[in-house]
Amino acid sequence: MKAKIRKIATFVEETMREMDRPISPPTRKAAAVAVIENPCAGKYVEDLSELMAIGEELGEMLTSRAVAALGIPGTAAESYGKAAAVGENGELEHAAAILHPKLGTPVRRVLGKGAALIPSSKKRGGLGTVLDIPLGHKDAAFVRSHFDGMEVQLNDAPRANEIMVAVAVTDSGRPLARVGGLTKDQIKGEDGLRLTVALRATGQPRAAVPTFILTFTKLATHHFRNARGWRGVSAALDADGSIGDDHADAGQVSFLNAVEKIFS
Amino acid sequence: MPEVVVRKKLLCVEEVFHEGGPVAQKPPRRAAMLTVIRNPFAGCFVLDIAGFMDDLKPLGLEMARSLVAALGGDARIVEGYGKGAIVGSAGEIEHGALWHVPGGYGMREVLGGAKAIVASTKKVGGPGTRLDIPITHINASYVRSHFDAMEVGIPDAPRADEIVLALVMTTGPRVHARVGGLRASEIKGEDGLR
Repeated sequence: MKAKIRKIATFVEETMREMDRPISPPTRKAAAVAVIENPCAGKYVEDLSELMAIGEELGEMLTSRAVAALGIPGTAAESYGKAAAVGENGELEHAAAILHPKLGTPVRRVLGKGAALIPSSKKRGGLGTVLDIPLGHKDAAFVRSHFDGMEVQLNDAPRANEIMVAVAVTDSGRPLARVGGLTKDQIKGEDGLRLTVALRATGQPRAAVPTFILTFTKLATHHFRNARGWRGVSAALDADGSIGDDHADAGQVSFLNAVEKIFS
Repeated sequence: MPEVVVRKKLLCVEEVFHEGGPVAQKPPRRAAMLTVIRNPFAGCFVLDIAGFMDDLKPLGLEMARSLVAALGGDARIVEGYGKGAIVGSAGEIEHGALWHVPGGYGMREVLGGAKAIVASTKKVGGPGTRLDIPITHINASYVRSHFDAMEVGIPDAPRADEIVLALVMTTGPRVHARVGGLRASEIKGEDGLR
């Protein structure tokens, strides 16, 4: 391994009751956290490819440990998330180098799928920093019952020249989820979003429609060739909600890019 | 006596490869099991609480077994242990004392009759309270290389009417232990101290 690992901690959290109602089966979450030496600590390093390679190793290792801790096959995982805390001698960009370019592909390999953007958070802090790992459904980011989070903390990490990297998976959504929205049974799990499209034609170009949702079934390229004839149709893809820079499927990425270009 | 009602559990396993020194040949591991239960005595002073220790015994055994399983399944590799409790604000510190027997004796039984007192700590606190659980050698408290501690906690526990019960097991000494004292290899293992 390129990463110099000081320690690895795994956490498994099970909830059996909520507001005195039984949760059956219990909802379960697991996080695997690696504390590694930051090879770029203390100085400006332009080329962060060493950290990107470390991200690829840790994506595989931490995801495997998390599903093993849950005692489930990777394909049975429902939500995922990732996070990192950089020690005080590092930069936020070091966390970005680990988390974004190469970590996602092995995560998805271990889980068998994972069309959705892997929700993430990063911060810089001292020992005992509390790290909240965001969670979302792994195949469709908009499944509302699965918006969640998991908190991890290690009293002796990250040291100034370290980075704490975490991957979390769940076998379930929130306990007693009941605020509506897209459910996991409704999803196709192909575009990573899974929602219905609202396209509006307006008289003039609009700066941005804040939310833009895509249905995936029958949009073919000839629709887009004709789109220029739709005067003033404009919509901006909520980029955070759709394409991740570590998205595994190039076809889906290019499709979404095409839509974005035409409608902007 | 009231039944034991569990809201949630947290299991944490740490594997320590080094701490700035040479990478350990056999990285020591530390595991903590926390269970959040309803405190049946929360809210007003109840004189007669001791019977609840019997109700907690199955939980103590179950948690100890979960820890051994989390560390690989062989109880013989466990070298250190500790226990603790965090009582929610509607309870008293004395409610935490209910864990000494079911937690401590439960763990020693699962480990085949470990001799040493199970080091412990307890406090009253709100959700997210952190607790440093002291750890000592399971057969001889004075083994210096095994004096250790593990910080545990749960963000949303204990609520006012809850107690967080904790057990910890370790498979070895501090990773770069080197300040002398009684060694594990030197213990007589009769009195639980040396």
